[in-house]
Amino acid sequence: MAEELGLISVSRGYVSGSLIAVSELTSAVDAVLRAGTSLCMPSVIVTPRPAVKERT
Amino acid sequence: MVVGESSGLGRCIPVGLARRGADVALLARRRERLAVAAREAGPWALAIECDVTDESSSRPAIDAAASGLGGIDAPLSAPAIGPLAHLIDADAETWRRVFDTNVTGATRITAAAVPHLAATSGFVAYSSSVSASRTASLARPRRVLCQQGCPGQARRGLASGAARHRPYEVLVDSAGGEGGSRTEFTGGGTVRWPRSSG
Repeated sequence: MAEELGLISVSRGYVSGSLIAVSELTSAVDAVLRAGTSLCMPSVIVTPRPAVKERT
Repeated sequence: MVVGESSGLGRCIPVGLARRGADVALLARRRERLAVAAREAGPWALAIECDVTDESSSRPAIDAAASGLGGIDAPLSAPAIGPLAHLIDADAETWRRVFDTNVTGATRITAAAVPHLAATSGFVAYSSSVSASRTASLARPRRVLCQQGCPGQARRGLASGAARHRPYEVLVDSAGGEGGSRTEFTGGGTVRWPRSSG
């Protein structure tokens, strides 16, 4: 069922199917937490960048 | 202070923050996973058992985190479950468990943390899911019910949509918009990390 859900989510464009590196996610969260209270961001969406095609 | 950190996003974030020099407290209900995550975070990381569905557990746990850390700057609420089942098989108890963890749990964390945040001018961050914005939301309940192809996603999306908005209202109500409190949400995408089985 998880496989079915994943395929549907990708086919409908809900998720890209790409993976976020843990280090990049941590960097994003770290930046938000260290931004200080003078900055207000109601929403931060962390999404994986598109896969880079290898040159042949 | 990261709540719900024994697996998934909630685990990799405090471990990563600790390695960047942050003083972190890891709160979760599963003792064994909690201990492993805390060891991975480093010798200074605090491991505190916390069940966000239980008021008598969550409030003392957050008080202990504040005491151990010498204050709380930024609680990150990450506990979430997303049991997979067809919509027709999802009974009221399943819905209750999801909302009690993903939505009401976040409000319990927020309410317990606000007194400590007032002392540090801190803020709360909520980790949500891409399903809060890409699939279902409370504003489109009809669409949720029509997503029979991915009912687990629909249920998680409904809960995520609620979690994305409700704690903010609670925080504003509790803090009165004072103390420099603010709200953050993170979400979207997929992380290469073992998923929580709920």
